[in-house]
Formats: sequence, structure tokens, C-alpha cells
Amino acid sequence: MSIEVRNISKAFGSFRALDNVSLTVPDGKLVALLGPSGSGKTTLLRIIAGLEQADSVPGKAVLFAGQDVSDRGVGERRVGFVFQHYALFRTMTVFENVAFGLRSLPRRARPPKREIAAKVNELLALVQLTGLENRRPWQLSGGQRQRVALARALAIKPSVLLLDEPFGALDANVRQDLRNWLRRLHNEIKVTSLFVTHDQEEALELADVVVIMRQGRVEQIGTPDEVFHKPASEFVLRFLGKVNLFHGRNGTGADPAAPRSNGLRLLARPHEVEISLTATAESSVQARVARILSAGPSVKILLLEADGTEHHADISHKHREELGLTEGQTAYVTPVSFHTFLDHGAAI
Amino acid sequence: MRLHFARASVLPGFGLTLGYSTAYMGLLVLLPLAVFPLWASRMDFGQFWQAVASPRVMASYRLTLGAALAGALANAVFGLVTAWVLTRYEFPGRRLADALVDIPFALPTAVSGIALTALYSKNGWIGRYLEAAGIQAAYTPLGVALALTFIGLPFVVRTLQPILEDLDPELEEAAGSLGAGKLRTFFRVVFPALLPALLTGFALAFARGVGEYGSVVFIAGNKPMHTEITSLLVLTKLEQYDYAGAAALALVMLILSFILLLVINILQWWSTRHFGEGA
Repeated sequence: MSIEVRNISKAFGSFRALDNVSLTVPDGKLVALLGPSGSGKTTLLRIIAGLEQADSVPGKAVLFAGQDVSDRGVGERRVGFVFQHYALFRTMTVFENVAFGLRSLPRRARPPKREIAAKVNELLALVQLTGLENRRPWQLSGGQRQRVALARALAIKPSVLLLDEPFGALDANVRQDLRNWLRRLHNEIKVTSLFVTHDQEEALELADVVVIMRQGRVEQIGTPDEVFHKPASEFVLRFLGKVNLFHGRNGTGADPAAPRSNGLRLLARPHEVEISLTATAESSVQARVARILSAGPSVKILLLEADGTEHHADISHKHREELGLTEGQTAYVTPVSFHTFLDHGAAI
Repeated sequence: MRLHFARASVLPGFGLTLGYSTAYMGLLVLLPLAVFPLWASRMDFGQFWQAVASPRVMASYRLTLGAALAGALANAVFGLVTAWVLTRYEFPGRRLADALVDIPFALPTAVSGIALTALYSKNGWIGRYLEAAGIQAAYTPLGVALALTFIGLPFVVRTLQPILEDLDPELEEAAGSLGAGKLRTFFRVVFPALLPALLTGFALAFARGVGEYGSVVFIAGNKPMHTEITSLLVLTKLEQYDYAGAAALALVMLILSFILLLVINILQWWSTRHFGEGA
């Protein structure tokens, strides 16, 4: 079921959490709401779920499959909501937690006991928790709790699945596993899903579509490829990873007397710069090698310009050996491909 | 041989503090308690039985336990409501209302006893309307129950408040998103989470009620067989220089309190086992 929000604004006191947001999530897609904390992504998720009411602005609407659900309460929207800290019912067993939604159905719609049990067991198998039915939430690991929360949300056959920072409270290894697992699960059940994250790697790896938010507005919507390779603004580019800033210059960086900027900002990611021992282009910048991190698939190098400007470069181990690079040495950083923005951050 | 209880600790003085607290507990708690069995042992069994099981005494047990139970039950219901309102809603005067909860605790019990009597007697602000409705509160078991409700309130409210404050609102939102209505959310999600604390508060209010004296004796009227509480009988016996009899009654009260405390502890143990600690 597709989700559409139109002209959604929300203020908490004088703080504008959301500022006229409109957005469409196509049916069956896994979409990430990505942004720094305070960008309004969780508020947007809660408004879609019906846990929060948007400010009444003419034309505001939340639509599921084209139907306006603005007036429906959270219980009537049939959303599966997975809370950041899972919100499992600690007085109930895993089984009872998952069965809660089915048992909450009005008597006419409620399936008989045996069907509920069968359904719950099927869900527990889906989230790989068979055998833990009778445990209580506090007897489970973080990853297991997360999966119980997911099974509980899926039990009501939700039209959309909303996840608030689904991996936020887990440690790195479990996180990676669960991320891959969620992707596979989504391919299997194909329910339209929207998840909130502040981890750009998670968003790019997991989502079909990434919505990047900033200060209550949508900054860019696109596939992971689009937002990574064609960032709509300097903010998006910077949010998705480290960047090196090169001012558009009138002379070579080697000449400190030349005026620094011509009003253009050239930004290159660490893998988009080249390191050499001599200046190779007009845009080359002289810098001192401050730190070399070679424990990894590539060598990460931190360079400092004389004025303290940082540059990050990712080069291959082989290339580093050829250069014979050591810490403290002077080298040149040259952008080989870059994104160009005006000084105020807008794309050209 | 040296005994080693102490675990390595950054704070020195384990031996000193252990010795101090043992001496303190012994002097302040155990020694006075040891007096009762000692005095009571001066009687033979027939005398003892006469002292603790005569019809007048049995009536006082019934009143004391019954009124304390009624008061604790009333507090379980209205204390829960009070705690709920105080933690969940912001309203002008909330902090004042919160402070007022402790009044029954802080007020000298005789003062609250006199105040309650003045309120509920025939000509009192509330008593006159009850009287008109054919209900007599002062000088009846009802009055005793009212006094015990008054003094028991802080126990329930103060035990529930921290639990309610810790109760994640997301739990209710989760229940709502799963289609549960407000009633179902309360009875299946919120109430079970509060139950252990509610039981503890109930037991504390009940225990306090069983031992209460000051606030009850004025409103009770102290008619033998009708509105005499057990604590009053202990005092009466003392005034008649029947120290052995008083000690025998006190011993029974002591055993009762002990059983109550045991029950409270079992409830707490059960609740932590059942509902776990931490998230």
C-alpha cells in the first residue's frame, strides 16, 4: 500500500519539527528517512502512524493507497509500528506479545484460539524465534527483542510497516546481521516499509529509496545511487560521508599569495582525490600527511593544509607503497572528480 | 580463625559499620521486641489464651483487620487514581497536590483523629449530610475505616508514583497501534505492570492500618465489642497495670506485623521474579 503525505507541518512550542513536508512512498518499497537528530524524521513517522497529529494547515493529508486516513486513530490505520526501544509488554511472554494484536480484534473479527496460535507460531518462525515463545522480554538479547517487536507488528497484517531507528539500540555486529535479514524479510513479505535512521550507511545499504531530511524539510528523495552520486545540496553530500573542500581558485594552491576563492566550492569524497608528491593540476593543494590508517581494505590518509584545513583520501595499498608515503611528509591532494556548489551550498 | 565477609571495596570501615548497625538494630528493634515474649511468659497458657482470645479481644481483631483491609482496598483504588493524575497530567497546583499526599504522614495522628471526628460527627461538615442520608460515620466501624483510609493513602501513592513515572508511554502507543482500545490497554498493559507496586502499597497501607492508634481512637468512640481497636485494648490493659496481658496482646500484634512484612517481601520477590528487573 502506498503512503503519501501532503503539506505536513508540526511545531512543538516554538520549535518547528516539520515544515510543510510532502512525500510519496511507492507500494512495496523499503524507504529510509535519513537525517541528523532533530531533523523531524521520527515526528514524520509518528504522524504517518497516527501517534501524533500534524498541525492543521489547509491541504494537509496522510493517504494510504490514495485514501485519506487523517481522521483515523492509530488503531484504525493498521500500521505496524516498531518502536526504537521495542516497547515490548514485559508482563507478557513472547507468545502473548505477538498474539496481542490478534487478541485485540473485535470479537467478530477475532480468529479462534487455535488459529491465533498457528499464526503466532508462523510469525515466530519467520523472525527465527521458534522455541522462545514462553520467554519474557527481559530474558532476550537486543536482537531477539527487536525481532519480537517486528513479529508483533506484523501479526496484525499491517498495510504499512513503520520502524523508528530499528537498529539504533543494537551493537555493531548484530546490527549488520539484522540489517541483511530485514532486507531479505522485506523481499519476502513486500509490505511497504518506512524506517527512520541517522546512519547513512544503513540507509544506503538497506533502502530502495532514501529520503534525506534537514531541519523539518525534505532535502532530497532518490535511490541510494542518486543521492550518493547526485546530491542535491552540499548538506546531502556532507551528510552521506566525509568530503574534501577545494575552493575554486584563481591560481595554484602552491601559491599562498593568490586569492583563495572565486565563489565556487568544489567538493570531493575521499575516494575521489589523488595523492601525489608533486602538484599535478591547478587544483592541487599542498598538505602535510598527518595520519595514515592502513588497517582496512584501503588506506585512509588524513592530510592537513598549512591553514589547518583537513583533507581525507582513500587510496589503495599498492598506490601508497608506490608513493612510499609516510606520516609527516608533504604531498599534494588533487580532486579527480568533484561536486560543485555555490558558496551558499546550492547545487549548480 | 578470622571471618571474612567483606568484599574488597573502595570504602573502608566495613567492620566498623557492620558492628555499628548490628548494635543499633539490636538496641532499637530487637531488644524492645524481646520484652513481649518475656513478659507474656509470666502467664500460664490459660491466662494467655484468656488475654488474647476473649470475645472482646476477638471483636477488636475483627474490627482492626477488617477496617484496615477496607481502608487499604479503598486506597488501592483511589491511591492509584491519585498517583495516575499526579504523574500523568500537568495542571496548576499539581506540585501542591503532590505535597498534600504526605500530610497524613506528617500530621500528628491525634490531630488528624480530632479533625476527622469533627468532620464526620453528627454536626460535622460531612457528618451532617451522612446523617441525613441515614449513615452514621463517627463512633462506628465505618469511622474507623475512614480514619485508616486517610492515614494509608500516602503509602499507595508513593509506592506507585515512581513506577508510573518509569512506565514508558510507548507501551500504550504500542498497544494502541495494535488495535487495543483504551480499556484493554489499561487492563492488559498498564495495570499488570503496576500490579506488584500496587500490592506492595496495599500491604504497607494495611500494615500501617493494623498498627494505627492516634487517628482512630477519637473517631472510633471505643465502645467495647463494637468500636475498640486492638491497640486501644493494649493501652487499656497497661492502664490497669496488667502488663502481662498487654504484652500478650502485643505479642499477637507483633506476630501479625511480622506475617504482614513477610507477605510484603514475598510479593516483592514474586514481582521481580515475574516481571524482571530493568528493561
